[in-house]
Amino acid sequence: MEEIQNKFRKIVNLLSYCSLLLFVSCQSSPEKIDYGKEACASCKMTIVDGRFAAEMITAKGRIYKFDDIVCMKQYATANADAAKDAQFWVAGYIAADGAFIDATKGVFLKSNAFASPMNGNYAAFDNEVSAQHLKDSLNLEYLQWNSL
Amino acid sequence: MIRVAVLILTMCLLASVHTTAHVTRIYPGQAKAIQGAINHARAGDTLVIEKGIYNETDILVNKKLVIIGNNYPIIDGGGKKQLIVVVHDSVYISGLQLQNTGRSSMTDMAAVRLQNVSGAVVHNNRLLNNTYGIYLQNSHYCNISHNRISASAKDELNSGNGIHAWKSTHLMIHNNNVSGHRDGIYFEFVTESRIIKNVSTKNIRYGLHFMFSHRDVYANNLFVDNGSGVAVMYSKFVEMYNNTFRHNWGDAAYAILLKEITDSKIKQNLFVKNTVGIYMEGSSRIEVMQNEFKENGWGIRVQASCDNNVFEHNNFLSNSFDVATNGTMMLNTFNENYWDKYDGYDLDKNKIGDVPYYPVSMYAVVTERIPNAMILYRSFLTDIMTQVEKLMPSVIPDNLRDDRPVMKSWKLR
Repeated sequence: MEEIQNKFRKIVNLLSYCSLLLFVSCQSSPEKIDYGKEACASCKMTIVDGRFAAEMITAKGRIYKFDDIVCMKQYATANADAAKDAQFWVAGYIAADGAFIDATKGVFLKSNAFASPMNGNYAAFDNEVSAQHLKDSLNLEYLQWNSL
Repeated sequence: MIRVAVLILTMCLLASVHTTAHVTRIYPGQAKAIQGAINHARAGDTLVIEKGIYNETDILVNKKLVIIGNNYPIIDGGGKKQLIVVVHDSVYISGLQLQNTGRSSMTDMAAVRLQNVSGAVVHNNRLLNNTYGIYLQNSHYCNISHNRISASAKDELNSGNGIHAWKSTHLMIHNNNVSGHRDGIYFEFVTESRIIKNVSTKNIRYGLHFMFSHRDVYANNLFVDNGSGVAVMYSKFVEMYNNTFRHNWGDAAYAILLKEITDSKIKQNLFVKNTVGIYMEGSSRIEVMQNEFKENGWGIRVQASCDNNVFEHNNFLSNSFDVATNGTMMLNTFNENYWDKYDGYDLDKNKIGDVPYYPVSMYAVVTERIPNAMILYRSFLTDIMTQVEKLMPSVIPDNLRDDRPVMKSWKLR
């Protein structure tokens, strides 16, 4: 009797692990980038700079990673099929923990002073308040994702 | 009488020359010892910095000076600022130990920054643990040689490059040893320059990185164990001779990554134990000759976007895959290479195989389309597929072949 109960418990456990896996595979939030190891999907350079990284998550859940916001923009234009209904995430320029920002909600600044890996020179911020300081000191204007 | 006058005159001249070239010795102890000496010096003077520790930063060299360290005096930035900024032509810096620059996200902190100058020489210095080592900005005819540049930027994302050059021309970078930076040597908009006999190892990203830099030569360098090898991107007329690329290993690692390169030469290089020897994308008119590809995962990966490249007289030895491509149309030429996997015969004894060699193996095509299929490489199933493909070719690109494979390997070195 106890043996059957044990078996039953094991099966339940297994099922719950499986369902956990299901949830994991269906995630649609950005994945942590393994800096220094992974390559940009567009320019093939190794991604090292956490301030300019970006991710595109397609409608099917495939994640493309980029080393520069401009790489993602170019890739999305060149691969319109994959980019259809995709989510776009960008690393926050001053977010220390490398947190990603929804590109459609964030604000952007452009300046050569940023010197991003592919000279896109866009920096992303989660809101205008966090970008205020840099905007004023470099005399820049706020940009939106659609106008980049 | 006239003779005596001339003699006196020349002696006066000599004496005046002698008085203009001062040698000033600098000792540690007082604050701003080096900057003070520079401010007092006249153009053409020599400053000898004696052994000791100098906690000085933002040292501005704004006149033509010779700065020599006696027995490697240490200039330490304490992790806060830049060390030496050169803004005048023909400055000579040698024999210093420069360490611990600051780290900032807005300015690139360098141990030596050459800013809008020409004819500067940075020779025989030790650079330790700096964000950027030597930073050339809009500078010309500079000579960077025999420096040892190292940092321990293992996981630090905001690290800089060992030798960083931007918008410069006619640079000579030779016999330096760079390790532990983001890119060992980085060129952006740098033309007519040479990179000779450097050793670049254990850098996080690339041993050498070229962007938009035309008509440059790099030769006799050694690139070992860098995160992803060497990247040459968006450049024309680049010549790469006699370099050794060893153990650039990893998922996104290449001995050489070529992206949008045209009219260039890759000759007499040695590629050993790299994930990919040469990866090519959007590149045309490149001569790849007399190189040796040994024990690499892939010898060469040519993307379909490449055309008019010539691969001639190379040795391909013990690579898992000699050549891989993602296309079927092949606009590149392979001729008279040695392929150790070639099993044809030479009945007319002209040292050239009688049947063509197809360097793209069936499984190279499969893994190019489905990278995960690699897990079945060297399985029984794959062997069967390879044999079937040999009898009835259907997958491998038919026009990617070497019509004259040589029977004996080339003696290249």
